[in-house]
Amino acid sequence: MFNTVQQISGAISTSIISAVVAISQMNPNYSKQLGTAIGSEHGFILLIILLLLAAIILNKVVRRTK
Amino acid sequence: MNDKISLKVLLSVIAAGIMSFSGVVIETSMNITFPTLMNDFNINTSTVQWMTTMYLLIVSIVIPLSAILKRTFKTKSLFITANVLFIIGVLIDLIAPSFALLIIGRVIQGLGTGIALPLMFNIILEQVPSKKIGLMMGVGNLITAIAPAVGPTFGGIVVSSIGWRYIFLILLPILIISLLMGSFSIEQKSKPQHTKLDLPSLLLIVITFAGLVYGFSSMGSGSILSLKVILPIIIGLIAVIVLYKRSVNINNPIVNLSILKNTKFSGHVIAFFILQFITLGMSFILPNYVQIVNNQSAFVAGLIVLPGAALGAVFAPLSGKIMDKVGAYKPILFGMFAGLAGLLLFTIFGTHLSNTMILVFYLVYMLCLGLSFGNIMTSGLSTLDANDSQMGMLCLIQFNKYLELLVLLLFLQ
Repeated sequence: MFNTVQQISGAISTSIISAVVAISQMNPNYSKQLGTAIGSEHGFILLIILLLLAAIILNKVVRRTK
Repeated sequence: MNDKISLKVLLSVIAAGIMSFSGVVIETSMNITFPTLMNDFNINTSTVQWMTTMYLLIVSIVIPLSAILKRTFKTKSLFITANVLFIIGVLIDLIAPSFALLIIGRVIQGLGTGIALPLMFNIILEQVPSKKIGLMMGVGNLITAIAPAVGPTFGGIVVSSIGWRYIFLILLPILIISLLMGSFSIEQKSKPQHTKLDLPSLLLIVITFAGLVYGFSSMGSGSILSLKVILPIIIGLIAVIVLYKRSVNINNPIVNLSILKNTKFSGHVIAFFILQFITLGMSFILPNYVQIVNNQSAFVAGLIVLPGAALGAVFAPLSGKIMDKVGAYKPILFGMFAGLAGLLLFTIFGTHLSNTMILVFYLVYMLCLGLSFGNIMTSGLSTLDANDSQMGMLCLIQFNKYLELLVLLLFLQ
């Protein structure tokens, strides 16, 4: 289960994050450099939202005692 | 006497381990090559990402089949098939004149890795004396933990000096050694028997994974809410619902999805998914950022992510030990804070990250991953009841035995 999740998560992640970066790169107002920087920033924002979500879920499901 | 691991078994584990290692090394070194590949083949980001995405898609379709493959075929035949597929894939990528052919090479490599990844652990579980299983599982996990640390740096050095095709050329002799070693040493312990594969389930797995990945990838072509994006995702989601219904109702499902009814367990699975998502996202963004935005070489990009990646590898054995002492909650909580801090720093300095910042922030993030990743898996398995806990037990053993492994490694030095 965890093995499969690990692989498919990687595939979905790479496809989404690369799309986020690509969208900014294609903006004609930006240079390739600036587009990549802005796209990366959008990527970081998406990732931080996801991590918050994971933290909230983990707080609920992980047992606190030993 | 029976507690000794025979040379043949050890060689079998190493042979299968080399394959897993090579698979992950190529996967993690590829991200470093993207800016180069984009120039060489005149393609954009949303196309080049298929190098990783397609490969992982194939691996994730093959891995659920491992239990059936193992029951139906001889271990040695599986190993040889996997290895030969991998070598063919590597040969194709070595000479591929077009990007399409490069992707086909990655698909064939994915088939090989998908078969090989579970094979190493199967050989360990079946052929290593029970007292040594934990230790050997530790060795196995260490192999797969070190590979992502080696990959980007290896990739960076090779791309900057002799060209990306040498990534494949250098791995070729190693794979051939593994093939010879495995062909000589792998033995058969259980008799293969005919097992029925539930074809509809397999089809549903393919539709789910392919639909989601294709849909999300299509976002990169510009419009997020186009039919090309939404339709495959909806088809993928429908397929996963049907797959779930089917796996609950039939006797021998390919994947036992009914354990997801346990909400504590499925919570862990979702968190594990997210963490892996973030990690792969980072390993996509950072090397590209260093090369395209900061205008550095692939070599520098590889070096910048090395400390973080190494920290991740170091924590793979350590985190289980920490969990044994203080339980799962504290290390995971601390890890989440580290992760949020790291990502917050990345976001705040988003468009003007220097190389040093990337190095340090990535270290902070990898501390999060190191502390939480393995523990989420272990904690998740511990929520399963006795029926499903056989798998859970095995994983718990492996974490407890890490220390034993480290001591052994020190002795070998």
